[in-house]
Amino acid sequence: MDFTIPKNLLLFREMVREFAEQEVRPRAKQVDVLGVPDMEIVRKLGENGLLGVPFPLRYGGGGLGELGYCLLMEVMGGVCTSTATTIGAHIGIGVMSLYLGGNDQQKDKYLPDLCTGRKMAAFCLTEPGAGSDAAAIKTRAIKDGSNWVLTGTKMYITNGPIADVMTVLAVTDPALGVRGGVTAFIVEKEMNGVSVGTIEHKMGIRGSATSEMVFDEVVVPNANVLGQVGAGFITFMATLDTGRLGLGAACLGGAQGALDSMCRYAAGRRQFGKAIGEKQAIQWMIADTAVEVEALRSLVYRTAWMVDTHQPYSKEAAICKLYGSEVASRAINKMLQVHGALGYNRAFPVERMWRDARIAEIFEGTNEIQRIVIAGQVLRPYGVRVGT
Amino acid sequence: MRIIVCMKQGLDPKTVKISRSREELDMREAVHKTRFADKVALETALRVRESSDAGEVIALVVGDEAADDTAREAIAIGADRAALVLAPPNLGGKGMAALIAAAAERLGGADLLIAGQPDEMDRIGSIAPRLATALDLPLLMDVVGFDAHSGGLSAVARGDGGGLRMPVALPAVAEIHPSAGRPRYPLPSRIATAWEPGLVETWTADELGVSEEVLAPDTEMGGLVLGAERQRGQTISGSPPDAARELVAQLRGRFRGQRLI
Amino acid sequence: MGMDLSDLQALMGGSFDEVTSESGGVWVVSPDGRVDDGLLRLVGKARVVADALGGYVTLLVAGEGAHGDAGGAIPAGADKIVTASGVPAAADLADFFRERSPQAVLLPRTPLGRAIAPALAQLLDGSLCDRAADLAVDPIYQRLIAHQPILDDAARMTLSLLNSPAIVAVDTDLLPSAFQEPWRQGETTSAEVAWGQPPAYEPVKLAQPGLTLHSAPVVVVAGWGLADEVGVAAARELAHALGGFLAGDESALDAGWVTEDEVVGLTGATIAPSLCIALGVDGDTNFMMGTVDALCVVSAQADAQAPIVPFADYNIIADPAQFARELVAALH
Repeated sequence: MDFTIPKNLLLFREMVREFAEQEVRPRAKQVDVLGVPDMEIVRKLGENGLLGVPFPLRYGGGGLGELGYCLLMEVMGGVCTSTATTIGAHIGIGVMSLYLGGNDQQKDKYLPDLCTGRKMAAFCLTEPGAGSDAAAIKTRAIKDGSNWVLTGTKMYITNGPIADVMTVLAVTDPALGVRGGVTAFIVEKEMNGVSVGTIEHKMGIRGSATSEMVFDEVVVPNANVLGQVGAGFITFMATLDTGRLGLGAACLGGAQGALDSMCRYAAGRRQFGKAIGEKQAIQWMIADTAVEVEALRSLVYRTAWMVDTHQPYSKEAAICKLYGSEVASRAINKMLQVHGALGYNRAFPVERMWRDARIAEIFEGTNEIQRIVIAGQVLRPYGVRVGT
Repeated sequence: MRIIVCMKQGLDPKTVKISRSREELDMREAVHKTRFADKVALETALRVRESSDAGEVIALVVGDEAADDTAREAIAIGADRAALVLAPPNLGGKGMAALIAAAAERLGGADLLIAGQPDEMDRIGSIAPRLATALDLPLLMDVVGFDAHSGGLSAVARGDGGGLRMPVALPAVAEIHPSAGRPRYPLPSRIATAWEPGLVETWTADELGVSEEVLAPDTEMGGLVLGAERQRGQTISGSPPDAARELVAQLRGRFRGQRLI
Repeated sequence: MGMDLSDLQALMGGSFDEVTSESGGVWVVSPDGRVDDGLLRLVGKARVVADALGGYVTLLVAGEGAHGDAGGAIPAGADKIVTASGVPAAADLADFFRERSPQAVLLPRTPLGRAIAPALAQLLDGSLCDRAADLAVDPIYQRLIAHQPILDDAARMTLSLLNSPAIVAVDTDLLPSAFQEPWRQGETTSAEVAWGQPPAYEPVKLAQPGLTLHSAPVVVVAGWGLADEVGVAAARELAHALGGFLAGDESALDAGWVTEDEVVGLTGATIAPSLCIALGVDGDTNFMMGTVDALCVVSAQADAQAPIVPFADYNIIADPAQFARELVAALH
């Protein structure tokens, strides 16, 4: 069993680390304070090939596969969660849905611009009445000649305000429900009737743009149907599967960052005549975090390998998201505790990381949904039906 | 225009520690990697290629088998080709120059041979003056950039307190100053393909016809001379004017080489 | 050990009479004719080395007339001064030294010295150290040992220069001060050679990168102890006098003396300048963890019990604003 990371991916990770330290970290605080994505960072990400990392070279992608994407998310997650979220929504679910479900013409038309960051992507599934219950979406697409007319409102769409290309799930046959009655569409921001609705003001990842997307009788050509008519749910669920892994990798980066921060502070802060790192209570917090980070790392990298070697990975990806988000939350909570009152100070990145981490247990499929997915995978051989 | 960028690996200074008790360097965590000064040199070459819209940039790496990674990194950053010359660890300056000269000939010669400035821990010293001498070519030092124009090529170098522009009669050898420009990041798409087999031409000293004698080093490393151990918590007493004068004297002694005070 | 007769003679303190006047010895070269304090220190170092090796110290001064009084080289330790006109290229020096077989050739580590030294070593098949801060002599093998500073001069590597001549480019700032021995006698002769003139190049303006908190070698940190705008002005003047960056701790941010980007500390910026001067800074964990990698920390503040005292390399217990003003005066 060879656990070595290939040399090109080691170089890639080094490149992302340098990029993150030079271009992203100095702006991370500002991005959170201003509450909007830093488009200068987005432009540099695109210019340096970081917005198409897993996709094949022929589409202008980075050709580095899922492990490359996970390394990118891991590094970014440790530096600026807002930026990592922007990247994740773009690559992990936005462009990914197009890549997984699109035909050759659609891929040739949209992927080159998306992989180079000339255009940004968003993934439009959630609605006010359809969160965990994704099947309850109401956005409607009605056939009109060789077009479809799309009407509805999507909610909590990451990258909504900055996206040029969106994949949107809509009901095409209410009678059939999710099995045959929903279709995925490629919608461009420029199309008439597309508008950005209310902007979300969030507790954390404030530098990631989240908003409603409003579709008011948007005319979408038939050529923009993503995958088969009626089979949209399958494309979207498959996309969410992959997206989970990227989020798990970002959580890994956050947890590792918390561990590094804890150690640095424990080594420098002196109380009772010695560094607090010499106190057992602190050492145990650090050890517990190190254990979980190690376990999460093996899990994330192995799942990425499974994706890259075309093995089934739904269960593992859900575990990465579930475990990753909880590990990150625990690690960041311990980090705050180790830093004491200083960590509570808004001038210090700890409180930002603490606010940023919480969403991971909620979005991209709540951890409750992840448990259902995992249970379903594990119980299937036993003939037990698992559902919502 | 063909530009050969001479590169080698260097020690990451952050990974080298000093063992005061054993009076030697603690190399247990020492990491060798592509040198920043060489990446600046490569960046300079790439900018020349881009500004003249034509030409070839070849990375010529001298080192051991691990230096193959540097050759591939150079390709990922943008070099058109890369070659590796396998050299013994105790290589001397004359040997390095001989290997580069022989390899450059194998590669078809170059209009510009450029190298980065040596690092603090380098034992060989600047290689560009040796190359210029060995190949009887003009030498440019402390170059911060090149300008390709209709009349040919000119270089801007750091001079006393400012810059100097000089015409460049090709072929020539140049040492690039580390302030020449920020190296670009390698593109993921180039990284993806940079480790393909057969991409880096590799030669031994034998294959290049350079004898062992020539490769022998002209220096031998001895032990380490330690500087004074850092002493925190000292107090300078006396009236403020006296203390100020004393402090200036101490700092001038401490920072002699850096012209800080 | 493999000593030969000449080694033995040297060990027994062979007399100068046995050394031919033109061969052996240590040569110091000023290729552009500059004879400043740095060059005189180098002559002094050559004296020390030559005394250990047995031989003369000769200063070769080229250039369009001497820039500075070459005569000062005799009291600094030179036995002879040889003048020449024009600025030599490495090939010129190689021809010059082939006839004279020096044991060592020392150059100041100027841009010209850095270009010449390796080329000279290449031409004469000599040993090279092009970054020396000091020189010593191996008493057994009678060879030059160059000391090369590493890790911000925290230590020096020792390099034995195996071949003869040993060619060394020396950072003269790091040498001890020049000798002043007016009783020394020496002669000045002309080498009767006229080398070429270097071409004059067009001067151009180089874009200077601005001073930033992270790149500045000197950072002055303003703290609560400066008390008011007048105090901060003194800090600003000190930063200006040192060509450094004025930053502040958290209290300086609260007082409006610095912006968020100029705060030093764990909650602000972690910096690693060569020199950090803290004025009126108490030194909490926040500040100390942000400056732990500074090579040298100076603190001026009024409390002898402040946490910064055991942390700073140099402490001055005084009013920080007043001390800042005194420091500016002492620098001039």
